[in-house]
Amino acid sequence: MDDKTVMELARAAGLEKAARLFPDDVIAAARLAHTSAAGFTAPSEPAAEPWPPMSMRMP
Amino acid sequence: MTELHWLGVRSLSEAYATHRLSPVEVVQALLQRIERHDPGLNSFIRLDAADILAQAREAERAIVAGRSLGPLHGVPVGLKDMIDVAGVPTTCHSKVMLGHVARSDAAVVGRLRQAGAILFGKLACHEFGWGGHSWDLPFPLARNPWNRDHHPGGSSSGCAAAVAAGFLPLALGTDSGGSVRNPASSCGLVGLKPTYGLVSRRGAFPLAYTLDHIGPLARSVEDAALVLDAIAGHDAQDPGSTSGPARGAAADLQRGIAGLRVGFVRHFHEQDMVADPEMAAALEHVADVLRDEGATVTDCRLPPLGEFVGVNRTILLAEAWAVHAPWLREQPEDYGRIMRGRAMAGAFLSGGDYVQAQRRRLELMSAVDDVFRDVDVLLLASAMDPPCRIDDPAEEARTYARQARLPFNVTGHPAVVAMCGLTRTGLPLSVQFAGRAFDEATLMRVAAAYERATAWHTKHPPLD
Repeated sequence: MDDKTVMELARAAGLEKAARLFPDDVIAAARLAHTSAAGFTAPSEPAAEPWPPMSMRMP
Repeated sequence: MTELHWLGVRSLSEAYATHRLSPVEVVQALLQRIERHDPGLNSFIRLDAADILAQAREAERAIVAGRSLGPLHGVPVGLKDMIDVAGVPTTCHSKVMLGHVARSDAAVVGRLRQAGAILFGKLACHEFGWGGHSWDLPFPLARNPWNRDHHPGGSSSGCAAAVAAGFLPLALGTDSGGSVRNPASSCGLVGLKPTYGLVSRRGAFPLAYTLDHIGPLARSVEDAALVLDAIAGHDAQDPGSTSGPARGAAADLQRGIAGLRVGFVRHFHEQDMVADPEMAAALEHVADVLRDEGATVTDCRLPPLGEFVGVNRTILLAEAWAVHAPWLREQPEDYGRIMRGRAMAGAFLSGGDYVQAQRRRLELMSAVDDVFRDVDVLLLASAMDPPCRIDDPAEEARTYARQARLPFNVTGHPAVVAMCGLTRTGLPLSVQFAGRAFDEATLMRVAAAYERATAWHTKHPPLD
């Protein structure tokens, strides 16, 4: 993702002030998000559930 | 005779019961020690001596009158400044929270009060439990008592500095990716992250809802176990809370480990993240000690460490963004630079990224549970490196992620660290043990056996 796109996404997320005052931090944040989400293997089994599961309590 | 400031829970409790010491004497001595040494360590954010002495007098009166509430009665416990005490500021070591005063006690604080503990001040931390060692925060950074030029670890940095320095026997920290165990490792302490749900998180400022834990830092395994037993229990107001196990963490400390099966997770520090040679050698020695104590130690494999890292980071980024987005939009300048950069990252994740991480998490939990069919406890690295210099941000950045603690925030299994050596330069080395969910008794049994066999816990930093 290029820096221009990062800034557009930041503004869309309501981070206009941060994008204006701390552009380097915003770009670093976007890179951190990318490396984190790319850092694990997504389950290939479509039925694999997330944790924690939806659960109900007795009224 | 052990100096008063190094006494643990059992020694203090016995001394109170036999009137050889009083809680007032103890807190006065600790306050003097703090006054003398803390200006160089910065472990405390808030210390109200008058309130502490009032609590100590009340404890003294009750104990003298034969109304002891148990082993923690009259024992000082410090709190990371992310844990609420009614009427007292909770700052999370951040400018963002400077005006915040807690309206009620955290659940763990309520349980400490019921046990008669003396609430002994609020301790420094990384900003919101995640911001690293930032120099642009409203309070100074805690330093490592073993060498003030070195990092004390984090994020419960003040907790570890204070307990290691002999300012307090105990402290409570929070742990979402290793934040109790990291500073405990760096400062040569015992640091325990309990099973997820065993200790209520109500009243601790959230970092990441499904990763957050509260746990003790102490100078011995027994002290950590006694605190856990005091603060564990179901809390209907914490949606993640569960009923605790029948056996407490301190139940089996003296049983020894003959016949127990220990799985040595070598690939974490030999392949996935190659550890510093001194750290690797110390872990080998731990395995030898456990064999000498009668345990069977065999190599075992978990999923690659990087898988846990990716899942932990993705969940943490997403959940922390949910917490901090309003402030990051309105007042980003009030954050330290490190926390600001990390907390904004969740804005760049998708909902799908978060769900995929939580789906992978369930697989990782199952994989760890599978390993526990064949072993009782895991032996593995905590940090891959000794504590780095506090004035070396490049080295801090390099070593920050080189750790094997966060897998158990992902899976929720209990894990404890304990000192297992000193580097050639006199800095602590640490080992980590992990156990089955809700089996803190066996986990602490192994840690206690190791502690008895080696006595690293009797080593203290050269402050005096």
